[in-house]
Amino acid sequence: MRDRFVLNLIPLTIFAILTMVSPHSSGQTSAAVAPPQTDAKTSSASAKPAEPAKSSSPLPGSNDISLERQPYRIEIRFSVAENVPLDSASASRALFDLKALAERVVGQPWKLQARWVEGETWDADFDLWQQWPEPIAYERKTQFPADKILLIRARPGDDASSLELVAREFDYRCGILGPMRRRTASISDLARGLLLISRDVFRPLAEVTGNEGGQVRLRVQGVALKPASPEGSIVRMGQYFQLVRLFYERSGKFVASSIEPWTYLKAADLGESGVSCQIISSFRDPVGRKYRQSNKLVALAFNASDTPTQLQFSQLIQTNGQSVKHPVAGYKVEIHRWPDGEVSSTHLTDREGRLKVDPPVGLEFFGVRLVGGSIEPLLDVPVLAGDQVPSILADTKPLAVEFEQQLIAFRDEVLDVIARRLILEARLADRTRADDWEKVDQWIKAWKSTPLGSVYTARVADWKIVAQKRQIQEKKAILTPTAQSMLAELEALVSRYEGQDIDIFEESLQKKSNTPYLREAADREKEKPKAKSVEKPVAKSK
Amino acid sequence: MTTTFSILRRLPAIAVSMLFWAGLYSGSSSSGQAVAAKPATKAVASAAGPETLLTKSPFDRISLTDGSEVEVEPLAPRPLPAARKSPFNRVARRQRTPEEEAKIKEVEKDPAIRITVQPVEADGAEYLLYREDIKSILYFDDMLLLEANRLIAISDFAKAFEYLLLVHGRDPKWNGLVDSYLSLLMAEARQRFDASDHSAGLQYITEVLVKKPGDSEAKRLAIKGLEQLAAADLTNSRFERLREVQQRMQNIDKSAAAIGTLSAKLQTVATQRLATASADGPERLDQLNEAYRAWPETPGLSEALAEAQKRWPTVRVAVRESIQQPSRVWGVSKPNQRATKLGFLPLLADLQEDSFKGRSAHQLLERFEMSDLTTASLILKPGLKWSNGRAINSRDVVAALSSWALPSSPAYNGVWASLVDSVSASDERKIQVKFTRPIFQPESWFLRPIGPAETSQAEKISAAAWIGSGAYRWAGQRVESLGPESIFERIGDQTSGLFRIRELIFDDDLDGWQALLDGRVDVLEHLPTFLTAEKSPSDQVAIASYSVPEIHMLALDGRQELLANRSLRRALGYALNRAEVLEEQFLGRPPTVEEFVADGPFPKGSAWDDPETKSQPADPAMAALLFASARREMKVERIKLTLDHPRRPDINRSIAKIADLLRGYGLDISLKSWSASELEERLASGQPFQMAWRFVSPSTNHFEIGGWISPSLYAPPSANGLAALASPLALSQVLDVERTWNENLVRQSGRFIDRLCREEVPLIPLWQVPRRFAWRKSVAGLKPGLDGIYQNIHDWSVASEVKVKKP
Repeated sequence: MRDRFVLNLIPLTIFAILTMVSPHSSGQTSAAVAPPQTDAKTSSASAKPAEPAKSSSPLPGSNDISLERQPYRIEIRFSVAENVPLDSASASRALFDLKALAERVVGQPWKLQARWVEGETWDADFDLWQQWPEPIAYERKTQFPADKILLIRARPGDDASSLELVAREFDYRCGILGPMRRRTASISDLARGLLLISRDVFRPLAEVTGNEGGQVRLRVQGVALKPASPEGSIVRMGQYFQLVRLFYERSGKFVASSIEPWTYLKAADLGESGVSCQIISSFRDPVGRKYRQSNKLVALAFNASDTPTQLQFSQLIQTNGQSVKHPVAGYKVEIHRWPDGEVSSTHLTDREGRLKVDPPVGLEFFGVRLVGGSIEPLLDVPVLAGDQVPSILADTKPLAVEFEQQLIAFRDEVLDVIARRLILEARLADRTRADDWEKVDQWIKAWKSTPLGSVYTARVADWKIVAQKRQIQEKKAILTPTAQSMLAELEALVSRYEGQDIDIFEESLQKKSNTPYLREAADREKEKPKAKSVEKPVAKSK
Repeated sequence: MTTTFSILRRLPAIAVSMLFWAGLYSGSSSSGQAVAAKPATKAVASAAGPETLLTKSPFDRISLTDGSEVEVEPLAPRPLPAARKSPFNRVARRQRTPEEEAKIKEVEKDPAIRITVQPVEADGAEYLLYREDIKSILYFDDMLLLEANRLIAISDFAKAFEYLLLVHGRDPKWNGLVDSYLSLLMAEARQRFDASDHSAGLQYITEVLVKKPGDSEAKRLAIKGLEQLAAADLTNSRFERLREVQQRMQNIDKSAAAIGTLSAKLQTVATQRLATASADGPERLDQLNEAYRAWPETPGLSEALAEAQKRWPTVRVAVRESIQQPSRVWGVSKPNQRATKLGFLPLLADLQEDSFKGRSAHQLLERFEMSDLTTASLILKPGLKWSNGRAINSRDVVAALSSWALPSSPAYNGVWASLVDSVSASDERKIQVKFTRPIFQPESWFLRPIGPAETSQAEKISAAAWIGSGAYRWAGQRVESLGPESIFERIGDQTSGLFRIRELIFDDDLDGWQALLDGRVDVLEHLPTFLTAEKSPSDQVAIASYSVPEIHMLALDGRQELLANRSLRRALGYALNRAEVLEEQFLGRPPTVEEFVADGPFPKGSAWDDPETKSQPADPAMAALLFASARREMKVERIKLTLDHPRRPDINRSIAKIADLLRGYGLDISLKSWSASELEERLASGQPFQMAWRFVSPSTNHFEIGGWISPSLYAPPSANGLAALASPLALSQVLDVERTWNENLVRQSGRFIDRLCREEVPLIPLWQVPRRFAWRKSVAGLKPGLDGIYQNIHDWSVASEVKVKKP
């Protein structure tokens, strides 16, 4: 049963409007404009580039006061669960103290309003406290009472003197519900607990002002306002951001927003002209992506945490002419250092294609690689520790995986036969030295009964041609880079196999003398020291 | 030679013996007939320890007429013919012509007259010796027999046997050998009887009687031993054995008094049991059975027994293993599944239209239909009750179906948990099951039995708390005179069919088979593998095959790092010479056409068997290379593996051989044995293992296809059972089959999976053998092609085999 949190509906407040359209409860994106399907390391293309919105930017006051000098209007809504020993008086006191504390710690960047909302319900068909990051489609008024709403709820703690606080931030301008965070707080120091969790969920907003040479420039709201203490800084070096694209109608009316998937910015330089960030993405150019609809790119800060990331992989399967979503079940997932680092752990998706991954120890950033069969990488995306990601649609490349499986089995077959031949050759060498011609004859016959190299060569060539044709006809990936690499390896192996011969043993048998073999063996031995002696003069000359 | 002969000619016999005595003869024998030895030889002998005849080179000892003795190389022929004096004057030979010499030589070639001897210490020199100069010859074989007899006398039987074996190896027909051997057997038998090991003693005596049927002492001992055995069997009420003992006594000595004594005791027992048998109730049948087994000819017994059998018809089923507690509907072991078949009704009896419409008597549903692609509507039959009288209602079904989806429930099934979206009841009889997606043959899930809501998740259920819906309840275990057994009794007021089913446990298949032939059991659940009986040896007994053969395999746990290594798995496949183990250990005979090395987890010719896939051949050289490769890849020096296996005589024999084969490649193999049901339950619950011997009979239910390959696949997520299937590609295929909704796709995927099992080696298939059962023709209702022994239990009836015997 899901843990539902329900606030009382107040029709005249923003929340009434927010309840009109709710996202899908399984954690998929619900933006009016669907984010592009996961296609690692490619960028999307649309027919006509969109014009960034100019007249009705959702960000306030850009005409009058620069964004950097604008504080955040934050409304904290605080409620408690059942069995929490906190009455409205105590809560109000805590909220009052919270404001004072925020003044002392954060100061100018925050314009804080906090209120006790016991009895309020937010009636939605999803669980607010489940981990999912989705934008919420809703109808917005031009004037908003707050830039951000922080929803904080107190639950019973481990003992009578503590509480568990869970919180999420809703950014009104972007329509993005941030990740859930939790923290333990002491009842006697509730204000501090509330401040800490507010800072945990608070996500500074920035405009994207430039994109050159892999660096994105941001103007971060409130960064020019002096914080009351160092802990109140809005941005720090190494701060991560997520890119959010805001979509508008031609009239300038805001329509929806979506988070750019598998893309993060990392603050590399905090200069006066803005924050310069490095892009980390599985796409080539996520910032320069073109859309038909008017849109504007902003960034929301994201703090890494040790919250496990819930992944869900799906694939589309054609059923009765329709594409139906099926889970990618039982597939291997490798967690590795991004982008090409060593694998730190390997997992399997469950029957629903799900997987819960703890952030690897010591890694703020990690890559998630879905593998088809044993070796075919199907997709590889970066994830920031603690981030929650939408359901991932993957092309499981079934034909390519099946083809690779055939190649692996064939490689085993060829390796086995090569090994058998090597064993026979060792025996031949031994018996030839011993002049045991009966055994030599027997082993030569056994060697000749192994499959001909030309058979294997022809098979590999045939498979290659069939795979190429099929790929063209069915327009499905078969000769992936992995498959091609395997084919090349196999061709080399088969070529080596074809090149094996036992002429010297046959000659020795014919002459009933081990001299030819011994001579050849001696020649081979002589060649080895010769190679070393050639190197020495070169070294000396240097 | 010429020199020697001339010496012999010149010297009298005494002189010849002095020559030997002087320097050519040495040695001593362990029989105490020591002869003076050369100093050098003596020193060597003392340094090496006392030599025995067993270790010495054979020799014969000749006693000459002058009193001396000579040890010579074994004479030929053996024994020599009776001695004769030479017809020629030995002294007068000096005056003979060469022609006369030649003639004499020809005549004296006869070993009865003259022999050539080679003294042991003569360094190859040969001498001629007239038989008339020989007082006696002690052959080596006789020396051995003498020593054997001495050892028998001092009860060193093992050593004595060695001596007799040596004589037998030299000449099986040597005079005195058989007598010595029989003496040995008798002596050993006496010793065993003295130690109260009557069975072993009887074995020896029986062998004596085979060779010497008239030996009165042997007969006396045998009868005495049998008397002792009978006393123990009488105490333990083993009446069949007592009858056997009686028969043996008669075979040995018809006039033995002990026969009469034993008969009298049995008659007394039978009469007492008949007299004290309950007046009514099924226990009367048990008591009359006892009396009948003791003495069938007891007056009035056979009539009473026939009547009791008619009132409480009972079938005795010989099984390898039976349940020891009330059955649970979700138990995967074979004994539990048999018991569940008796104690619970399924929602659907089969997948036929009649079942969907509720026309089958042995199911809970009145109606089953798919309202749409993802919704199943179930309606229970009205008036159904549990064994405690409570009505069977929709809450029970909802509780059961929900428990299959709960990870904390012992009934959890991973496939069901992923397929079902919700289970709800709209009234007392109507249930709706919503699936998350359209699936192929969803109705197959409802072939499972359903238990009551009260115990839907109970790990253990006491006999008092057990509630069922089937015709029989488990009535407990007891140890009968035939051995341990489990009893199932009819519930309620059913008036037709069997009253009781007794499952008698036989560890040894041969014992069970013998019990069936003897009539001590009525049905044999599993025919021994070493029998090739296609035709029954008795016209009272029928043999048939189950619908699906048995596949034996070694399951591998992919969660273990060692077994996740592909090279190691391939090496295991190459290392086992399965054909050899199948014939020599498992079957103990050449296989028939239905018995062969398996190429995968599915029966040959079944819908999922890929005909192109062949079994992996044994290849020791490849195995060695791959094991070495695996060690390098995993950076280990030694590979240690544990092999769990069920306790079964044919499997025990085979597993020892398999372990030896693998140890030959440098692997450290530990064997761990379990009861078959315990092992299967452990594996299904997701407990980690390394290698495990399994024997399965795969059904055509595609939801179970993964379980045939990897037993942990349906375990709760916490067990990480999916990772136990060592091949990622095979795993994804299996999971795809679970959600496939098209029959053709199921078949294609099944064949692909079969091929993958060969290439990826997630398991080591061993062999496929038919599963057979047998029954006495007094039991009606059994027929070939059953899925399980109790499949049509409701059709069974048993006719009394009691023949009215006149005293």
